Amino acid sequence: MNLRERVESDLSLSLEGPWGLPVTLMSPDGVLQTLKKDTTLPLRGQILYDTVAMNPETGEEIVIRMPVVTLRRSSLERIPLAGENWIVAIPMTPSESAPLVQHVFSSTRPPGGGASVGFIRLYLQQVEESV
Amino acid sequence: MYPDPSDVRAGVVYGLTDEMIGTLDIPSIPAPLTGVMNFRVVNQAIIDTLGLSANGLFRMTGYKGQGKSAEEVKGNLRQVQVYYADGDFPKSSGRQTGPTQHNMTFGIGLTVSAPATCSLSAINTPGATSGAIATALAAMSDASHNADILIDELYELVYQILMDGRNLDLNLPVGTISNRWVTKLQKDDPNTKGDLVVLTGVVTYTCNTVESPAGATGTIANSVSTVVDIIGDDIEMTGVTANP
Repeated sequence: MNLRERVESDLSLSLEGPWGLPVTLMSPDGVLQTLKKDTTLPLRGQILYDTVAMNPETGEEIVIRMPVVTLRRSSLERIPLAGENWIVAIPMTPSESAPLVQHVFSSTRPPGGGASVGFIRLYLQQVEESV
Repeated sequence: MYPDPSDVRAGVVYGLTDEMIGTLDIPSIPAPLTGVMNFRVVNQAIIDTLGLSANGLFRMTGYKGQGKSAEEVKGNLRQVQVYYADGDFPKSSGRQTGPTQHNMTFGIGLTVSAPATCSLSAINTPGATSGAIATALAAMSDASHNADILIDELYELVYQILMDGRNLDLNLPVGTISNRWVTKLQKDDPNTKGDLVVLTGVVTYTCNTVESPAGATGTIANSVSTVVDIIGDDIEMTGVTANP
């Protein structure tokens, strides 16, 4: 096993282990994925809820809510692509038992990154019921 | 000895000594009077006119405030700010005092934010087929598009209110403003702020008014008397009226 393969294998711990949280994905063709591919284990990923940004008007650092979900590619039934409409449900708070809240992909940051070591980042945006 | 032309104290240029100057009756200069300028009245009138017609479709802020959280301007919380942007005071030759025309430009800043929208009820219906879900997902409207719709609606609302014939004078006394016009709509690029998209724009509103400097019109201007009473001078007259 080379180093990249070892890193990918370790994602089961670093992304899907105790630091991970449950995630569900709904693909554009309406298929819901709640379990890891070819297993009966729940799909899990690393979720960052907030990020630090700079207020361009004042130069101050501010913390903004911008969920970023990192998933192991080999655990996915289908790999999300930029421009596709997916629904991503994540816990409302960083808790295993928190209710899931649905999001969509950000239109300005396509999913991607980390392909060389086998993970994918999803930048999420709020979604509401259309009227 | 000739007087120093750079010494502009009254009397010096006439060759008077400091002692003589001390006897002159030079009026003191009063503190400048203050008065409300019309641009502030018009600024408030624009705020009132838009605010009275908002009907819950947007929120008015009467000043150019600092940035807002994206959540604070979401949906119908979209925000309108009115502020005096700039003004010109055309000057005719020789004009020194009295009322002057003020060509004013007001910025009406618009800020909206929006999430993506989708038929979540169709997606979350128990037993929904994958085909029905796929159809709902395909009809998803992304956040930038929703923000664009929100700000276009806001342009429409602000424009219609300000250009309504009933608001020709912004409910101010007739003649306070003239030549009002919405001259420009400007839209900025959508900006992702956290999990929302924020979009801003400006409506430019121009009109004219007359500003009257307080204390200038209708009052006697302060001046220095050039007629001096020189002690010991038999003629007691100097300057251009002197006739020895």
